[in-house]
Amino acid sequence: MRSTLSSIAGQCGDVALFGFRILRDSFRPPWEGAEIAKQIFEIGWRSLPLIAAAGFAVGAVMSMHTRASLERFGAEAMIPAGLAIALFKETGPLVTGLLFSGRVGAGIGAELGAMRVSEQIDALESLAVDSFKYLVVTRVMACIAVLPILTTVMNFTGILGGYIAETVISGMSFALYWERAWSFVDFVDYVPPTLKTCIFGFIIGTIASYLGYNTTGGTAGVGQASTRSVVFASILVILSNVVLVKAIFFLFPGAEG
Amino acid sequence: MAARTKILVGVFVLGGFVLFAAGLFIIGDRRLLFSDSIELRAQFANVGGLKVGSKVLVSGMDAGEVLAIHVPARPGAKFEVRFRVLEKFQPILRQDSVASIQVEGLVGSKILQVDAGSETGAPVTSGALIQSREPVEIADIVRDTAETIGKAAAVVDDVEERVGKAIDTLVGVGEEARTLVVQVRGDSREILGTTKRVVGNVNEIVDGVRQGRGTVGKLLTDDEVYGKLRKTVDDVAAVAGNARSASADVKEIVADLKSRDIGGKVEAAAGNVQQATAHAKDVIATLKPSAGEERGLIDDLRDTIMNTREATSDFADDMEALKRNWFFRGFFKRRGFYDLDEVSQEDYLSGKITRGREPERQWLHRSELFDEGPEGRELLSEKGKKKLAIAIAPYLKLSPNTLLFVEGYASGGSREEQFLRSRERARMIRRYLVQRFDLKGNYVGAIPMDNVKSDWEGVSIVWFRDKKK
Amino acid sequence: MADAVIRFENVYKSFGAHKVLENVSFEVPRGSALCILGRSGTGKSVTIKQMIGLIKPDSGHIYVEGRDVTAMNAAELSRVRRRIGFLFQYSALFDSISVGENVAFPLRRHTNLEEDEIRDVVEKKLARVGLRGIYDKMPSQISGGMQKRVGLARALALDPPILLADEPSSGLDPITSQEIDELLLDLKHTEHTTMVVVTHNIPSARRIGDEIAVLEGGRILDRGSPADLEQSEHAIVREFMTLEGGI
Repeated sequence: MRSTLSSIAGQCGDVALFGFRILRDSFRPPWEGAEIAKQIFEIGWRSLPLIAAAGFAVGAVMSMHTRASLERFGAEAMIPAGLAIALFKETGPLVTGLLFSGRVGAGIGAELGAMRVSEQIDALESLAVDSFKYLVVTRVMACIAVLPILTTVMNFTGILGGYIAETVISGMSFALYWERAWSFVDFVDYVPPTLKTCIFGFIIGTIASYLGYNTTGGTAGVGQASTRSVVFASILVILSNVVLVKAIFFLFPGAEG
Repeated sequence: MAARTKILVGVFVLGGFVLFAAGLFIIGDRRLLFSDSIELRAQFANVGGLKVGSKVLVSGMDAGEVLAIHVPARPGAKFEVRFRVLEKFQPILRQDSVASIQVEGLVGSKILQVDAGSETGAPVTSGALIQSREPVEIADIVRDTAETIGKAAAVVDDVEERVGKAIDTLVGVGEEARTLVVQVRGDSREILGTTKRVVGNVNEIVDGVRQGRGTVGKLLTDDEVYGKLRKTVDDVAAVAGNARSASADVKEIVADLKSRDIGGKVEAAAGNVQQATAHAKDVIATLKPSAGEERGLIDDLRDTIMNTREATSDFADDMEALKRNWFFRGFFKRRGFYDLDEVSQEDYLSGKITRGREPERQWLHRSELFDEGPEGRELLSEKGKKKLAIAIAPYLKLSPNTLLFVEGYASGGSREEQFLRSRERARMIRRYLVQRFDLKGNYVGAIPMDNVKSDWEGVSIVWFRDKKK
Repeated sequence: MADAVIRFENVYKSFGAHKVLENVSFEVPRGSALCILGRSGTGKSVTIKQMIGLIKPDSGHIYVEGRDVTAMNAAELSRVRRRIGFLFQYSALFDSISVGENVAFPLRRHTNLEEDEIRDVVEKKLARVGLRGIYDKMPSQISGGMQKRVGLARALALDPPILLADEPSSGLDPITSQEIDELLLDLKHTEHTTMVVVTHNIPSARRIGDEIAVLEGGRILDRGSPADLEQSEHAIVREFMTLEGGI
């Protein structure tokens, strides 16, 4: 029991050190700009269809649910505003973060794991390339850059999905829907929640890279790294969100209203 | 990296940024951040949950936001709310514009509503302090409304009960009245008049309420209250019908009397109700088959008629009460239901009340009206009463809603004496007319005409006939 | 011993309780080829990975061209690595980029060559290992033998004076394996490349090695030319040398 605990503590310490190393190295040249761009393409551009489709569906479903609850109070006019606020403040960032943990966390975990067991990471080192900077820092940077963009995409497609669900039922015009959707959204409902996904990106990138980069045990180890990446990244996204929401309330008192 | 990939990465990053920025601009645009604006101030004892960043509406249109709320330095002072309003609203804002804190929708957030100013108000400049109205809590409105509805319902219940009584009495009287019509000719016309007026009033209220007039009129679409009012009106209309047919009978009998050559006397005294009644009494007496049996019946009928008058007069009192209830007050005011009891000379002379209607006037000298009483006071003489009855006769033919004024005149003595005497005369005559002919105070005024250049001693009775359409 | 390109001095290495290397010392003279022979799991790979600092010894010193690898910082290590080519056991080609780009990778990182010059050098290196017209193929589209050659081409891209090869013949059929050995031999003769080749394949070791070191139980049991080892005082070494395949 004691050894399990100390091993967990040790792991946490390792991950934290790994994270610090990422932060430190991200400020040191050489900056692997081309590699970051490539990763943005891989994990950002290629996530677009998933995020857009999910956003559309989430928006539509939320619209239907808000309708069900608001109808009781005769407040159907609030549906677009309720949807937009919920989407911008929490659902958009969190769902994007979780989907991203799934797709990209697994991807990074598996890719780095495979590179580790097939000695590609050693090969990089042997070619006098800092594999940590080249593989890990670039991926984490890309995650940080990409998540707010994907969240924005999720937000807007969500609004669009909500519109489709709304207009099918009530025939509301797009102009009115759009007007109502934004009527209660303030900067604090939009900017901090979107930018907090940078921290989700850092967490997802770091966890997945850590598990992939330190993979042992051959092909089985790669699968394990991939699975664990998703599990730990998702849990940490959800847990960190609690802290982040509280932090946003603290930093931007207007966000609570 | 392939060129295509580079382009896609560029599209992705730039597109994402543009989309995010678009969101910023949409919000900023809604918050009206990107337009010129002026800063205004308003003070409140209670800011009712208003926050920095709350919306500001000018006459219901999005116009800006609250910038700051300064907490006062000491307990009695007010909070100062500073807010931004788009420059384009400046022309309609005045220093007498009123800012009030309201709820957006039924459960929405608090907003600051600013009304446009008056035409003559001073224009606002940046930093100006405008008027404010303290926020009304919804709970208060609901409580007041509930109270009002309760009161209104009680009034209606009461009215219904009294009207019901009156109806019962009237209906009971119906048949018997026919046998007594000549005697009660004047009375029955008064009943008819009063009843018509009551019906008119009730109809007006009901229509007004049904159309949702009045500030809180909408709230009174309560079916129960409406149903009660409606029923009352129907009942009263039925009574009026009865009364009308009674008056038709009167005409018949009068014609009958004429044919018997007694009509001449009646005709001659037509202007004087009391005389007519007296004559009618004689006629009745001649018509009576035997004295012993019928006396009880006639007494009963008299009592009944008395009761009826009392009841209708009670109802009129209820109407008065109704008019004084704030809930209906606005409605009555709009309709011109002033109580002429308390009209000042100034208002009267300005023509505000009579609104250009043509006066018809009867002059009565003090010598025709008064006897010398104790301590030099004037008392209305019997002769005076007759003169008044003749003078008022044409008025009684008119709609009971016709405005009537008793102008008092006095000459000689100091100004104070003139005022006191002219007022005393006007009031005395008014009081008598109202009592004797059952006129209603709100249609009959007494005006001392002390400042008017005239050496008339006595009164002038003036009525203002409604303009013919 | 001044001309020893690689020198191990009393190197110890263990993973947990498992002692992999115990007091290993040897040196490789310039231009010669050392074959480290041993059974699987005897620490052969660990030995050569230590030479480029991928794994640090627990104690002892490793000198490459006279400088201690174990005491180097990242920049110094990077300089050393550019002078050493490393052929991995399973080639370790970057599977997300094409064969040509694999070979071009070190050139792009460490030279200022123009795009067409890089292309030129890559084609030459591929031709050197007997491959043509596969620049745009992905690593997964070519055979294991070809992958090994590409790995070699990549290791040689910067014309390193030292080449380390980890099991060059593993996973290959004997004929392909022999072709790879020929390539290494040719390299030694024409470029005078110093080589350390880790293998468990005796014929291969005989062909390539000027010297063979037999690693057993974390120690070097014996060391010498193939002919010397046939006369070794250790029975197990003599037995190894008679085998016709891997041990």
